[in-house]
Amino acid sequence: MKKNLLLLFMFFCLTTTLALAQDRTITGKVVDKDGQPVPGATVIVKGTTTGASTKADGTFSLNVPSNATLIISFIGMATQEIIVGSQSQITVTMKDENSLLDEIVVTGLASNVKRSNLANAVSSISAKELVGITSPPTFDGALYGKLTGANIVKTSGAPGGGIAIRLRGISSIVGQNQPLFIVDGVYLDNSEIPSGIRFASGANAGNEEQASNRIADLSSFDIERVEVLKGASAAAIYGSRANAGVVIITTKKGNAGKTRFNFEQLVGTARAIKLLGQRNYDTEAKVRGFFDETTPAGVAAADAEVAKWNAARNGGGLYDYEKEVYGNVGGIFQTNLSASGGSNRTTFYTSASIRNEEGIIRGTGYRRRNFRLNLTHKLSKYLKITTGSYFVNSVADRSFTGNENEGGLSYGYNLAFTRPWNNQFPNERGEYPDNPTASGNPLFVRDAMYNREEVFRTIQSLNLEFNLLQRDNMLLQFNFGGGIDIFKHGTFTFVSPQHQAQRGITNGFLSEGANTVTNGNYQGAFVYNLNLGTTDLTSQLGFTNIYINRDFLLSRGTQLKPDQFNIQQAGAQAVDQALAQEQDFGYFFQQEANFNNRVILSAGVRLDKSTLNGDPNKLYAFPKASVAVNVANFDFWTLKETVNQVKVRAAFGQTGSSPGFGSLFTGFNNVNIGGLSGTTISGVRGNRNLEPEIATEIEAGIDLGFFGNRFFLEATYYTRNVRNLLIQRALPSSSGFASEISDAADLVNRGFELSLGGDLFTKENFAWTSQLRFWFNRSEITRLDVPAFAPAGTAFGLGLGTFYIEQGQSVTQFKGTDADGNIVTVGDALPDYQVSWNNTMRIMKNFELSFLWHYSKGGNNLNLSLFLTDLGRTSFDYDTPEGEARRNSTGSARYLEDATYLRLREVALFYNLPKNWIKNFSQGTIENVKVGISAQNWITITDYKWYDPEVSTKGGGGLSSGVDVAPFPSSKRIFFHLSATF
Amino acid sequence: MKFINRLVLFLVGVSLITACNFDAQVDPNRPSVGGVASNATPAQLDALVTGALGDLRAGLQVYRTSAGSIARELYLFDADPRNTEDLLGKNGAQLDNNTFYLTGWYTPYYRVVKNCNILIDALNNTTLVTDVAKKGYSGFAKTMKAHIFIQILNMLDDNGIRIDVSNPDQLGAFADKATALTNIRTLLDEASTDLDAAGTAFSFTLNTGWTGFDTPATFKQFNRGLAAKVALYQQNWADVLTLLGQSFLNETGDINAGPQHIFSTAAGDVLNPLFFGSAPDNIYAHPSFNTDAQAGDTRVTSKTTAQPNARDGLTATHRQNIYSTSTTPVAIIRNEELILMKAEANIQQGNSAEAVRVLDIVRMAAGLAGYTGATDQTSLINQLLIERRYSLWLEGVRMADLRRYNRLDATNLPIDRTGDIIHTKFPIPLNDNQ
Repeated sequence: MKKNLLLLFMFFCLTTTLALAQDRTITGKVVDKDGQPVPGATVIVKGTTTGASTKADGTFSLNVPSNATLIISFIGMATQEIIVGSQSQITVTMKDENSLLDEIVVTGLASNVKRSNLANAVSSISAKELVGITSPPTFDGALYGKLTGANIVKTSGAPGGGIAIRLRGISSIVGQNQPLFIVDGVYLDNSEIPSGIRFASGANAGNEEQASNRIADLSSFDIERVEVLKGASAAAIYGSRANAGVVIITTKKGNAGKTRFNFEQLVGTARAIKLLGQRNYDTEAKVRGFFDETTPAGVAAADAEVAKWNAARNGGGLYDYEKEVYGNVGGIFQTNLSASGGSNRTTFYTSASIRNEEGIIRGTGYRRRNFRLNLTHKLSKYLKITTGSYFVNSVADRSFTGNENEGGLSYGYNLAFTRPWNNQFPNERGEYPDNPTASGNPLFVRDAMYNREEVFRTIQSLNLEFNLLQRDNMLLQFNFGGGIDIFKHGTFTFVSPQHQAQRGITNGFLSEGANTVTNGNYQGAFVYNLNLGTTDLTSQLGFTNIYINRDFLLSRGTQLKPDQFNIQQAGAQAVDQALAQEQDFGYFFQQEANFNNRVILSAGVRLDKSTLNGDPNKLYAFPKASVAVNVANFDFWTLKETVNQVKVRAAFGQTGSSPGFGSLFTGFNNVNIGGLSGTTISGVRGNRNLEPEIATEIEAGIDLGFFGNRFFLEATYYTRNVRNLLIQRALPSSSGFASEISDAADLVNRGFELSLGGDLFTKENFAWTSQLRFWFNRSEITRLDVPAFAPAGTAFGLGLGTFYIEQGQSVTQFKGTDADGNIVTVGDALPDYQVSWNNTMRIMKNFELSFLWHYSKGGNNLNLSLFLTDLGRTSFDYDTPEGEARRNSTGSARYLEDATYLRLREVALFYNLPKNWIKNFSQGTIENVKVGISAQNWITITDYKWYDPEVSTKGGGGLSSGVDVAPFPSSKRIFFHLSATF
Repeated sequence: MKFINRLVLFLVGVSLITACNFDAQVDPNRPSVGGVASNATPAQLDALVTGALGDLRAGLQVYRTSAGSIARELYLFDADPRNTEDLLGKNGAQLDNNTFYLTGWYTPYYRVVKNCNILIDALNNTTLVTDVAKKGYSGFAKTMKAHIFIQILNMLDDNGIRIDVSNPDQLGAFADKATALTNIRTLLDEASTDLDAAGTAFSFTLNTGWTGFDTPATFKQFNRGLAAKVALYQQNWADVLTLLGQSFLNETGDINAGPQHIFSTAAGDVLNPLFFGSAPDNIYAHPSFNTDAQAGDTRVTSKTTAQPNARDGLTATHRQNIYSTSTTPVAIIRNEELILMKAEANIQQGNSAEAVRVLDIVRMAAGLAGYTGATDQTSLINQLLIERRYSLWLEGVRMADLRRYNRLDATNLPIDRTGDIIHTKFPIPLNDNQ
């Protein structure tokens, strides 16, 4: 019976199709709001792939069926739909894209949906929002404050990146907490690969090395738009790698018509956001305070120190090593050049860009050179090919910051114990004195040691779009796409044999890392769209395949010969290698139904298996369903003039996160002694029964649009349960194992996101667009099958404060000890709420002022940097009542601080040179010239007592934010811009 | 259109091909534990022997500096403030049950026990080695387990220790101190019996730190030395003397003779973790070690050298100088300790003349004159503890020695800062206390 119905249905479709198909030719012109022609705009007959691009004069001509609807789109302008009716000559006036609600949002693996029909709160960021104001150093850094639901933390202030993004709270404790990044269909690697400097610095693990994360390789300049699927309900179709959300990045494509060139030059500087200053050693008593003067030896030592203090004061004064180390003003230069254009069948976009940035520590810096070519070719009306090629080479000099143990390398550590009367500058022979009170001389480290990363990376994407069946009201497509992301990441570190922590012991340290990552993915999907008048149905069915191979090789040497940088010359050599292979395979199916833009339903499922799971062939199902009701599109809605959109939406979805590579295995590690090679059991016990962590999210919201979308409001509430939360369960050490990964916990995140704004003024001489965002997230551990514990590697134990996993409590809570030694909850790393306020004003037509404020309320940091300076008696507030109170107390609670801040993230003033001038001056070759000045992080208002409340000493993975240990201080940057289009 | 059809067919085909089964994953980085569970080869067993001795060095530094700090033998000045705060009980600070100064040796030591247990299990499930060779392996494994248990018990004292740890999912209960000592003695005796049946040579190679102890017969001398140490802790003085007679004790030989941890700069090997050169971050002698010393005691002058430093309200004058290079070996147990054990057993048995004679062997070696003080038992015990303090400095036994004679307290040890307290034992680690 079902079969008969289906046949009947198909017959109906086909006959109606044939009946409607009567083509005729229409011509038209597309102009902007000033009446100027818009070349390169895309004109498509709705429901088909029949289309054309406008010519240089903005005109087009097209064969259309009767009753056709045209969709006209152009970058930066609102997409329009025009019902052709009986017209044969059409003029379309495009408007600036000032309304978010008209956007097309990429949500599925093979489909898009108009924002006004979307059932999820998907954040979209356009090129203009991303880097149109100022120039944050990396792509992820450019997302700060621009989307709700995101908590972005900095893992290092060094140029070249070091940022972690958390969408809607923490989704995993040991696993992936950073979203999945997809560029034009290619899965990107965003790992932080350590350089191995921990072997010289004594840092506890690779994540304390403050390495950059690899999204830094992406050039923001090439990005057309970004969609952020924040939770499981929106990201379910991405399956078992989407627990922490998905960031979909679309790069710029060319448009048919005249070739347009875009040139942009930035010149700027970076300087420390703030320096703390040092303790004022104005009295002898403060110097004597370092010693125990109850013993004769102590008195003698104190006398000697006072003599040095006096000598320095009578000489050139006390040294300010903080300023010496962090006080550099770094130059920044960035040049972008792009060209785009093409014919009706082939379009291209190509770009090249160079960024050169110096850090606030002399010798640190970042240089990125990248090249992109995107091509789109319509082979026939049945086949379209899109390719993207991206190559990048970057070099980052990161120097030495963060946690360490006796390495004498990390500046913050050295400075904490360096006394300002001890000369650390080199003598006339270029020899640096030892630091008598710390493990290293910070100036020697700065001038003679290296910690460098270099990346060669290529990202290639290919997408094929076949139109298998094309009728006026139906379209069957097969899309096949995928790509590769391959990079070679090299690291080079060098610690001089003359360094005091090395001399006579390991006699220097040299390491070279050769890390190769090969990611590949491909997917195929049938997409079937059927239009039944007011009802629109879209089905998709497909598969995906992802593989990832990693080979991290680190060669290191100690016992160095002077001035030799070849590891072969090292007297003692060691090699570490870590291999990993992962493969995922999945099927997906999704059905969408749009009833006259009034009710939009969607349901789907993804079936995934992965070699990371205990059973590599078990398929896990990740279902989804959503509904959006556009109340204002119903006939009964009579307020259309004032309230043009009222959308009520709800969505449900599941995603997964497979256990990390290696969690399944129990193995032996290698240990060598006296020329014999042995094996010793690894401390982490494998678990062959692991399953993916499963997140189930329900989100509901309402979207309102007023006065033709001049003002809008978007409010969303979500609740997300993570089941089978993997934890590194500590085992009784007497078992011989320290821990194993087990799925012994559940977690829930709940939160609220609000976004509202619009065009406050639209006068000719003054236009002001403003957007306010507000969001918060609360988490709770709802199940914990093991006793409450401090997760390994996230902080430094209860004595110094630590994250603490405890049933009924927030996953990001900090526990520590109070003055009486009791274990107490001291705070929470996650902010209470965040607010951002984004504004763009156009003044006198040619001036554009933009600014973005970001306020993060609450959340705590463990300020262990201050703990170190207290220990070294060098804290800037050591002698204040606050400092004194701290010193006279014990416990880790005293180093917990409120991390509230208000920051002017971005501010810019641009001036568009009047078009007539440029036209006359360049004789028509130059279209547009813009000059401006901008700044990033220019103002920060906070009571937090270290360089920056946004801090993470433990890298970007797992639970890691809010612990402050001798970080690379954050920079503020200011730029002068010049850009031209011709 | 035909081309297109073919292409689509091809792509659909690709999707079907990739849907094939994934193989069960194999660890690409390491050999698996399962690999030795049945029919382990001699090479695999040898690797476990070498691995146990190599990994035994992992907890060495933390063990000795933590025990030494509490016993006021030394200060460890380094980046971690807890070495001078928690361990010295600053402002009454208690020892944390989940911090490096405990877990830093406890975890690797039990890992070596696990290696030994894996070795013993593998022996029971392989036919690739002879029974005689198996006795050699098991004699080695049991002796090394006992060595570790003694060290852990010295730290945890009457908290007891876990002896039965072969099944990670069903660990045995904590044995109280007396039971633990009995069990360790039994383990050493079993090992001794195994070694007697192990032929004239081991089938495996021990590293050069074991030169002189690398046959079943000579390894047994090490085993008996450990057994004597256990008997000493059991206050079974007669047994101490009997066992020492079977050990490598040699009154006329090198007082430093004994098996050693060795170090090298070779790839994958480690450096002496107690060696810090002349760096300011270093192991410093507690000032009383130098000020209390008898003039001319070469144990002081050879083990420490002048290098002042002050940290956290503590002032030190001398740093560690036993290990002069980063590859200098570290003794596991020395002839000198065995000699002192002999002296102690004799004191306890009332043989004061013999005790003084034996004590003087150690004193002479240190460049001192023979002992001339009172020879009542109390005086001799006092003197014995002085000799042990100087002979065994930084060897991780002072804390247990003081405790054995009820002197691990503020009456008998210097308090450097007001508010400091003296800990008497380590807590049971958090993860074992559940």
